[in-house]
Formats: sequence, structure tokens, C-alpha cells
Amino acid sequence: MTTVSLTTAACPSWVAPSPSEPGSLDALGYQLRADRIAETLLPGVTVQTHRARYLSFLCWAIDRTGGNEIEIDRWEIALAVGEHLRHSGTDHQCSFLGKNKLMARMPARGDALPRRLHVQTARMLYGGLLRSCGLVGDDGCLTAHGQCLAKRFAGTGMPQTTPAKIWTCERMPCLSGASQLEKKTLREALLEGEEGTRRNATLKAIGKTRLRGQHTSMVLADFLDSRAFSNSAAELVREAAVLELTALPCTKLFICLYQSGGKLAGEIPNHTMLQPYRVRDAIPDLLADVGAHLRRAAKLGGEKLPLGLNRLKQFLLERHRREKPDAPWVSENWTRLREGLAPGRINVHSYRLMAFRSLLRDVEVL
Amino acid sequence: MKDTIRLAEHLNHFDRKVLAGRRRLLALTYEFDPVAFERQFARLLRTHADIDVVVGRPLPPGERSIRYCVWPVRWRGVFHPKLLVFLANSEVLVGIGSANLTAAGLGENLEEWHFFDDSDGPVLAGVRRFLERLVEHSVVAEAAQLNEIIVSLPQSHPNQKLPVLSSLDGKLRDQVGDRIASGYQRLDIVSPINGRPEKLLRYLAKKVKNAAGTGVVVHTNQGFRPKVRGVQYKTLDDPPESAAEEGLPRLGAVHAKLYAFVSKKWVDLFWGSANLSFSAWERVGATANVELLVHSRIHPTAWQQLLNRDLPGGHHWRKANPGGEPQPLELLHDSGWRLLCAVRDGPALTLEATGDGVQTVLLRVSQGTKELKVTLTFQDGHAVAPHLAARLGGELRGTLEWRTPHGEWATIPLNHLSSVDGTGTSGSLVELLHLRYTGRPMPGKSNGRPRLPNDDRDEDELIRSKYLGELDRFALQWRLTAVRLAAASRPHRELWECRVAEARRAVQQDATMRPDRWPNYKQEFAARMLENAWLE
Repeated sequence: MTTVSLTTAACPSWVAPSPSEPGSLDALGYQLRADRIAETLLPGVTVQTHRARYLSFLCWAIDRTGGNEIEIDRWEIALAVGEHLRHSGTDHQCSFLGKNKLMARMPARGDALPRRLHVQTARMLYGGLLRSCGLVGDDGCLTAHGQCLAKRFAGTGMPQTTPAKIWTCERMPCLSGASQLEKKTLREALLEGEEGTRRNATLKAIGKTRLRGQHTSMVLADFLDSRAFSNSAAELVREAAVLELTALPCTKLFICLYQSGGKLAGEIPNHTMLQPYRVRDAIPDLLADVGAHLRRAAKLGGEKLPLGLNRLKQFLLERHRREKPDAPWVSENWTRLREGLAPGRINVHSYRLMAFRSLLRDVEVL
Repeated sequence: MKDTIRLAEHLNHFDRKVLAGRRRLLALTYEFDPVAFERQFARLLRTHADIDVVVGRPLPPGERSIRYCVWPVRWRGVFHPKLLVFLANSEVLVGIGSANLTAAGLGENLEEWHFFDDSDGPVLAGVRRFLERLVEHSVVAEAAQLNEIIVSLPQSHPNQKLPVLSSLDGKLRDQVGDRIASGYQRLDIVSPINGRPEKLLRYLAKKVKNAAGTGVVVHTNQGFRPKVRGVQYKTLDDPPESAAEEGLPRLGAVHAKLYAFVSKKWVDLFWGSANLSFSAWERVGATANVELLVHSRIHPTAWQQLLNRDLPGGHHWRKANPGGEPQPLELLHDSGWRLLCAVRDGPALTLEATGDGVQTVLLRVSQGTKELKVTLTFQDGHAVAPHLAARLGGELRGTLEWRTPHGEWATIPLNHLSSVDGTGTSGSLVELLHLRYTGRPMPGKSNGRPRLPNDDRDEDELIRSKYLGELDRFALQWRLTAVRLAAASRPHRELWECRVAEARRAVQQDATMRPDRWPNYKQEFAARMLENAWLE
């Protein structure tokens, strides 16, 4: 007989998310085309460039250290720790690189500054945008614009030496605390100059209101109009919108076929109302939505795909095996060659719009 | 920072800690995805562990490995518990939580889980009581043989309150209501919302009503959030895209089920399988959900740590407003007659069903063309067709299909008994028992495997002697098996008795099927070996 106890002191844990395997995404290879469109629309911006003030910080750090990468990374760790001390445990939504690592580590105030924090530092992630904004030249040195931005950042009171202890990082500035002058310089960098003009054109084509309040799928849905746009940026967004009419349903259908070993009963109905970028999971709904999307894509000048289920299956299989020649997920008769690869959620490509929105919010354009 | 948990890795770790021998895994799940399960538990499936998966929902179409058995339940309501019981010799590891054995449950959703070992006696005793209830209600087929698992868990007094709550003991709402005191500051709930839980929410809000008026905070990422006075909502926000650089995947649904009554000094935490729904908490009788909850009492900081800081991959909670449309209610299983599963033992096929009577069923191998119509008499939910497996032909790969009264082909699991090393070939009974209780084949000249270091005279003799007669070999094999069965059960006598009874039943069954191999003196000898081995 066991001893009497009404409760246990055990506290459950969260189940660990499964790591994604290499080659486990983008079964049909639509990512490359989406990336090309995104690079033309928003040069230099990536899905990881969210905070405009990293540009000021990097300009300052390059100026201060003479481009010494180790020292720049060390200053960045101090910046991240400062943000952690300032915002951890509060509702303030100030995102910064290394946030999760610091949350997990929970350093004590008296600890020494960690030597390493996150692998992909701001120096790596924002390097392209720095050049695209004309803040750094091809030789890696600051331009006049970059030096001006470095001065503005230094004006917010950076410490004289690299902080050695956790608590001394409190003096590091906040990524949300740019002065009006610094924001103005950042706005110029982001929206003027050679590549900045292209970003500005994209902003104008989409419109501030649309970009401020909507997700990528809703922005794209607004461009699903048969008329041609005179503006080249608007035309590109429309091209992205039409591409997603094919990419999203085809990828979802392929995942379904992958999971069922190619066995899918049913037919693609001839007439279904299109709800843009809404592809449901249940098989009859999935087939109806696939049909509606592909028909509209063909009408708008997109890829013309077969609408018979068997021919479409064959098309998807061929496309998949062409795009993943080294590690196909399925064999020629839909036998699974690699198990458990299907991603949890499939959505439209982001076209870096959400990162751009975040940058624009930081500099008060939105 | 508390580490996140990987179910299969935890079992593997426990398996490596315990000496080689008997291994058995019993898994209870609502949804089951063979592909995800076989991928995650691949290591265990490569061993000689006996694995039984009891599932609440029909099996999805497709093949599955024949290395484990799948048992659908005989229950009209929703069979919803998520439980793993892993038996290694006489040591037991019990896992409870919210994760189904699907790809989503094993790494895509937000799920809670915890493993208990021998040091958590009351929880293990609670799990034993729950499994006993399942057997009492005949929820699981007899062929699943839960008895070995049940006796491996500690026993408790019938009226003793334990930290494990089950809906088979009455309304969960009342059981939880009995256990909570007063003076709570708020109730934090992390759960999906099913059906219309407004009444339940009002009841819970009343229990934590206080001057500060914090009330209930429901953490969910479902679209439907009913408007109830005193109830606030939070939804799970994805990590920022910048978090991707740290290799952090995004979670799918909030599927964990945690109910934390937070006071200044402690938190009464109820966690397990019960969703925030009427059918989980309030329905009783034959159509009630089968649910399992654990009652923990933890420090408030530990709860805050789990709820906020430990969230995987940079996710965080964000305030949300009530709204949305309720999800359609989960339909209860059709109460009519239906086939549950098939069990293959050599050429014979036993069919398990929800009810009795004479039934004509149309069967086929999954997606196959050959169909067989058979008329069988079902008694106690099962019927035996002596040569049906052979007649179906083809390779029976773990699933069968039968034509429902609605004219659709439905998939049922096909479990293979008496299989050695997954090939489906049957060995002699003593070889099977030896493999089951030692995890390795019977020693002998023929198998050519390196012998493990030991000082067992019987094993030495079996390996070295070229001139053993059939009777000598029979005696040595049964003696060795009996000794090893006892070794795998020590110090747990009740478990040993259960295993001996099981082995004796197997002898009787084999003797009925192959009387030429089992003269009476052999049966008596085998029985005596098994029964006397405990004292050796």
C-alpha cells in the first residue's frame, strides 16, 4: 500500500518542439521566386531585419572599434543584456537579438558579461541593409551618412568602455529610444538613395494604411485585380499575389499527398468561390480551394496548371522531384522516402513585408 | 529554467538505466499517427519491447509496422487520456500529459508532460486505479493484457484520495471542486476551448472570485473565446521573425491543459488531458469523456516560470478579447455495431467488435482488390475465424479495411501476436517467453550470437553440449526461462505471479493448439519450473 498523499509536488514541463530537418521546407521550390520578387521590392531588407536602430548601433560600433568584429559583437552583447535588464518581466515589446537566450540563461547582476550569446549577430544580419542604405561602403568603411548616424547614436550616451559586468549594461541605450534627429537620419537611409527609392516605391504602392494594419496575405489579396498597374512596384506586388495563388494551394496539396502516400480520393470541383489564400484542410474543401485558386491564377496570367486531380498530382510530383533532386521526399510512385517532413503550418510567403513594417514603425513612418 | 521534454528520449534514457530484460510500453492516446510514432520511438521499436497503443479515434488509413499492437477502445464517449507506462523488468516509468502520439503532439503543439518513477508512489497508485477502472468497464480489449502493467504499479486503499483524478470516478468538476480551498488570487487556464464551456467558466470564476477581481485568465489560441464575466483571455504569440536566427521553431496549437488555482503561498495545479469543455468536465455516464488529471501543489514562482519564462522558442502570451464562433461539437462515436480491430495469430484471425451477435462483414487488405465476405458470431465482443488470415492473402501490413454499414471502407488495426523479431515467424513457446523476459533470443549453437558474460550453468550447457536430447533441451530451456522471468520481476512478487500466470496460460493455449507437443508431464514440468524459480 502506498502512503497517503492528496497532491504531488511535480510540475510538468513543455514538450520540446521538434527541430526542422534540412530540406524539410519548400517542397515545390516556390521560395526562390518569392525571394527574387522580395529582393526587388525591398532590397537589403530580410525577414530578420526588424529593428532600425541596429543600423545606428552598427555605424557607431564600426566607428568606435575601427571595424574590429570581435569588439563589435561584444558591444552587441552588452546592448542585448541592457535591453534584457530593462524589459525582462515587463510588458514592453522591445525585441532584440539574443532575447530568448538571455531569458533562458537569466544572468545575475553580478555576473561577468557573457563572451558569446547568439550565433548570428546583428553585424551579420544587418550587414546587407547597412550597405543597401548607403551607410557603409563596399570597403566596409562608414560613408559620410554612416558617420553622421554614428554621431547621432553616440549622442544618446554610450559608455566609454565595454561593460564588464551584467549590471553595468544598464547604461546601454534602448533600441526603442532613438532621438528625433536619429530617426530622421534613419528614415533618409531607408527611403532615399539608390535602393532606398525602391523601398519607398514599394511603400507607396502598398500604402501606409494597408501596411500598418494587415498581414502579408491580406496585403497581397488587395492586389488580386485583373487590371494592370502602371507603377512597377505595384505590378511586382501583383506578381507576388498571383504567384501565391499557385504556390500556397499546390504546396498544401503536395503535403496532403505526401502524408497519404499519394492516395487522395475525390475530384476538383468546377466552380468554387475563391477566398484568397484560404486553403482548408478537409480533403473535399482542400480540393475545392485548390481549384478556385488555380483557376484565378490562370485568369490573372499566372501558371496554368491542370485541374484534373490525377494530372495535377503528376505535375506536383514532377515539380517536386525536379526541385529536390538530391533529397526527394517521395518516390515516383509517392512512397515516402523521408518521414515526418511536413511543416506544421503553411502560409503565403512573407515577402519581408512584416520586417519592413517593423523598421518603418521604429522610424515613425508608420 | 526548466528543460523541455522529449517523450521518446526520456523513455530511451530510462531503458538504458535498467538492466536488459523485460520491456513493455503501454500508451494511451486520443489521436494516433503511426508515421510520427514510429519515427519518434524508432529506437524502442528496434528492441524486443512489447508495445501496446490504446487509441480513442479510428486509425488513419495507411500501413503501419507490425512491431506493436494498436487497440481501439470500446467506449461511446471520447477516450481522451494521454498516458505512457513503461515497464523495464520490475521498474516502472509513468508519463502523463496532454500530448497525443501524433506529429503535432510530439513536437509541434504547446503540450505539457511529466514522467513519474517509483519515487512518486501516490501518482503511480492513482494510475493503477485508473487502469483498473478501464478494465472494469471493458474499455480495452482483453487481448491487450493490461494486467501486467496494473500489478507493476503500487496499490492503494480503495477509498484513499490520490493525486490522480479520472472522469471514470465521477464529474471532474466536482472532484476538482472538492480539492480546492478558498482564498485564491486567480485561476490561470491553459487549454483549447471546445463546445460551450460558459457554464463551467462561470463556476470556476465563482471559485476564485476575489476583491481584486482578477478572476480567470484563459490562455488559448483558438478563435472562440466566450464572453463570461470575470474571465480574461490571452493568446500565444509567435516569436518574432528575428528569433528564427536562434533556431527556434514556431508552435502550432495551444494543446496543453493546465488549470492553476493561484494563491499567495501555493498553486493548486490540475493538469492532464481535460480540455476546457462541457464534455470533459461535466458529462457523466456511458457517453462521458475518459479524462485523466494530476493534482500538483507547487510554488507560485514555479508556476510563473512555467507559464511565461519557459515557453518554448521565444513565444509569449498577449492579451486578447472575447469573441469568435464556437467550434462544432466533437461527434460521439456511432453507438451502432462496428469492428474495432483484428488480431492475427498464425493463420487465425480474431476480430474485435463493439457488440455481439451474428454479423456478416466484408474485409480486404488495405487498398487491396481482394475482398472476403465472412459471417461470424461475436461473443463478448470477439469472434475467431480459424483460417481467415491465410485466405485474405497478400502481406498483412498492420491494417485491414472493412465495409461499414454506410458503404465506406474503414481502416482497423491488425495486431500480430506471437511474432519474433518483427518478421511474423513464430518460434516455440519457450523461445518466445525467453525473448519476452530477457530481450534476447534463447541461447544455443544455432543462433551464433555472442553470449553475454554470466555464470548461468543452464545457458552454458545449452550452448556447449552438442549431444543434448530433446527432453534435456526442453528441461534446460524452461528452467532458464523460468529463472530469468523471476529475475526480471524481482523484487516485485505480485508482478512475478502475474507473469507466471500469463506464461502458464500460454502453455495451456499452446497445448490445446498443438497437443502432440505437450504431453501432460511436460505441461506439469513447465508449470513447476515457473512456480519454483522465485526461490532460486
